[in-house]
Amino acid sequence: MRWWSTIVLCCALTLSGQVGEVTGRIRVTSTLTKRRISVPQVYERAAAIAVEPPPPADVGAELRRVVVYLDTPGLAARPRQARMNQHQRRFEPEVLAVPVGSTVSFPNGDPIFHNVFSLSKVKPLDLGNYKEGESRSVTFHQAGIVQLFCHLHPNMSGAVLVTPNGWFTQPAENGDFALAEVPPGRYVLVAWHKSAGLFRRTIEVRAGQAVQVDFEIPLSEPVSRK
Amino acid sequence: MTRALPISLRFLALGFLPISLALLAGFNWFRGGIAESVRGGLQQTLVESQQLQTNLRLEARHQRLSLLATLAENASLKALLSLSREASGSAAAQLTLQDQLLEMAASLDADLVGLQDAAGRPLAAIARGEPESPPASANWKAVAATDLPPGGARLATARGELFDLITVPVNSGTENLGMLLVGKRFELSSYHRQAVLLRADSTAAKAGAKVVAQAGVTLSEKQLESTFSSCGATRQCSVSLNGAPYLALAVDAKLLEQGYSLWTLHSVEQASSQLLGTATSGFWAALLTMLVAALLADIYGARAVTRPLVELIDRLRESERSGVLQGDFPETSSTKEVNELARAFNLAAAAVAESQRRLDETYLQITQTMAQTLDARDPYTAGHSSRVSDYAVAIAQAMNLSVAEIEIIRVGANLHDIGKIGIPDAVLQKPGPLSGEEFEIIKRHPVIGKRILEGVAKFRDYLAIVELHHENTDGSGYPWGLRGEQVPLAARIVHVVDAYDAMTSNRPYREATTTAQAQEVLRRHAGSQFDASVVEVFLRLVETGAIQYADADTGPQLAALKNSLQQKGSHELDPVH
Repeated sequence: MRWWSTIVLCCALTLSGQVGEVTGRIRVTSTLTKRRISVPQVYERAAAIAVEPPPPADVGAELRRVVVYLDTPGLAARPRQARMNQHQRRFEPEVLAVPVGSTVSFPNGDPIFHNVFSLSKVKPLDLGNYKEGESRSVTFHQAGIVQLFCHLHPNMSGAVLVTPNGWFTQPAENGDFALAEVPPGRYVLVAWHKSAGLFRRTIEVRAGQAVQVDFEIPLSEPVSRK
Repeated sequence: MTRALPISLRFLALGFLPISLALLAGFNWFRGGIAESVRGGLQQTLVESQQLQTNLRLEARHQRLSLLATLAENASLKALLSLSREASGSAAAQLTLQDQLLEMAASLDADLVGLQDAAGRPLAAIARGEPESPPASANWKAVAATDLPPGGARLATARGELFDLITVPVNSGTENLGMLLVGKRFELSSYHRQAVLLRADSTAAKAGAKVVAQAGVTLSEKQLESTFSSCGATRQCSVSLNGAPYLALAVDAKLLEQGYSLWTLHSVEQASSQLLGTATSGFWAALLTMLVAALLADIYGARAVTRPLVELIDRLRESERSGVLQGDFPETSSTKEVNELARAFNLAAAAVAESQRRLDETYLQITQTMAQTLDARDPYTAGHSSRVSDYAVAIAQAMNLSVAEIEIIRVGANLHDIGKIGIPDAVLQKPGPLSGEEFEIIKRHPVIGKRILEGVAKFRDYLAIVELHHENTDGSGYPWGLRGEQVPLAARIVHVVDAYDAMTSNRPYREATTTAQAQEVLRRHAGSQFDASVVEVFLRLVETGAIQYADADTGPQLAALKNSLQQKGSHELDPVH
């Protein structure tokens, strides 16, 4: 249903010759998310503190924490149904992007209780304790970032990015992304990384043209944030 | 009767033995004092170190408590307790709790983590498995919640093991949500190598305690229980384990659960014995040295005292052997008492010599008196002895004999007829001529005289004169018939003058011959009856007038002789007057 309507929309825009395209690549140069640090156990005096070797940069995982979208209100958005699982004390997917107005379900896939909550301004929520097989659903009516946690498991962390319109995507495994059928105009293109934050570019989309925008995260130069 | 001991042995017995006994006793006392103070000091150190350990443990417990109080503020912990309240009895909730406790335990140095709800009911607990088996984190196991002790307990048994617990409250605002229990496996040996943990046994009829754990003690629980039953609530207790004395120190109750008592066991004896061993060998060495020194000093002292005494004793022995007590003991010893002794000996020697002299004098007087008595018995021979003495002395002087010889002759001649005391008056004073038998009696007088004088040592020199003054040169004399030179000169002289005086004196049986006739007789028998040289000297003296025969009654009066006698200061030769 969703892909069907998108294709119809895209075909209509393409056929009219009034749309452009935004493509680009997200480059993650290092592991952005720091690994968990364990406190050495002071009581085990004789035990040498094992220094774990830094793991290979898991670029794929970092890219899964990135969402690229057009930060422009007023464009059409078609609400969806999405789900974010809780599995092995993690949110799956860790980052979920939905257009504004979408409803997300949070099913518990663990044999233990979870208690999902968010203190975000966009959508504060507290789903309460619920066990395996149970689910709670939330509809996000306002665009923005909703950081999700679990009361019971402080190590659980996830995020729902509620985009203001339908033009959003997550990069492929190689970092490439593409936004098709973008109506011509000036936009702010945002690449958001869950840990690294927002990276903005202002772009000009012309009909029938493709705009190439590359993001390097983190950026070498200071970023101007609005 | 006590046995006589040498002075040196007495010295040893009275000097060395008491000193050595006193030293021994003193050293023993000193050693005992040292041992006591070492043991006391050691005990004090043990008590202090245990107190220090207690303080450190309390401090550590306090720090742990603060740390855990911070942990109890953990929001997820509160969420967990809320969940357990919401979904009590749910297996998933139980699993959630355990799962989260495991998460917490990973960052805690703990062997047991548990939760209780606000009512004190146990909710969930996990415990680390075998302490040594790695990996430790993979070894956690759930503990039956019912195993958990009520809140606030410091010691708890879970899964058959003893845990040292800290309990912290989990609060939300003013509301208590429950308790967090964090435990470390109780290690008795961390208190001391040898320790015993006891728990008061309320089920027993009489007050007693059961052994909960023991470390480094090889005794059965029953033996330990009976051993510690006497210690009661004291802080220190002396106990005997396997016969060895031990000091048991109670660990501060603040570290333990109510009803528990923990004793650390210390062998003070063993710890102090090494120290004391060194001290003891030192003591013995010092004691031995002092005893040897005392012995040497004693021996030297005994020698110093006895040496002058031994010298005196040697001199006395010498005197004993020689029969002469010389009054010349040296009074120059460095020991005052020895000098006194020598002086006493000298005085004694002088006294003995004086009494000897007096004795000799007395004997002389006695014999003189005897000679006079003899003369008085026989009026015909009155003055005979002294005349013979005078003549003999004159001859001896003329023959140039020594003064000592002349003196012997003088006294000897005076005594020469002393044996006649033993001749009966009937024979001696018979007016007529003597029969052969009577004459034989007369002839016994030299031997009788010798026997009389023999008893006195002083008269030994005169014996020859008394015994042999009737021996003839040709051996025809009596009593022995000796010849010529066999008879000493003194006796030969007395023989001549005796015969002359006898011839010139009145006798009961005959009238006195004239001096000329007597001289003739002498001359005729010279060489046969009389010694020729003596006769020759005598006749010459008579011729020269040196010897005159004045009167038979008064005896010879001779000026020269008299003068010479007076010069000697002798008065014994005047018996007649």
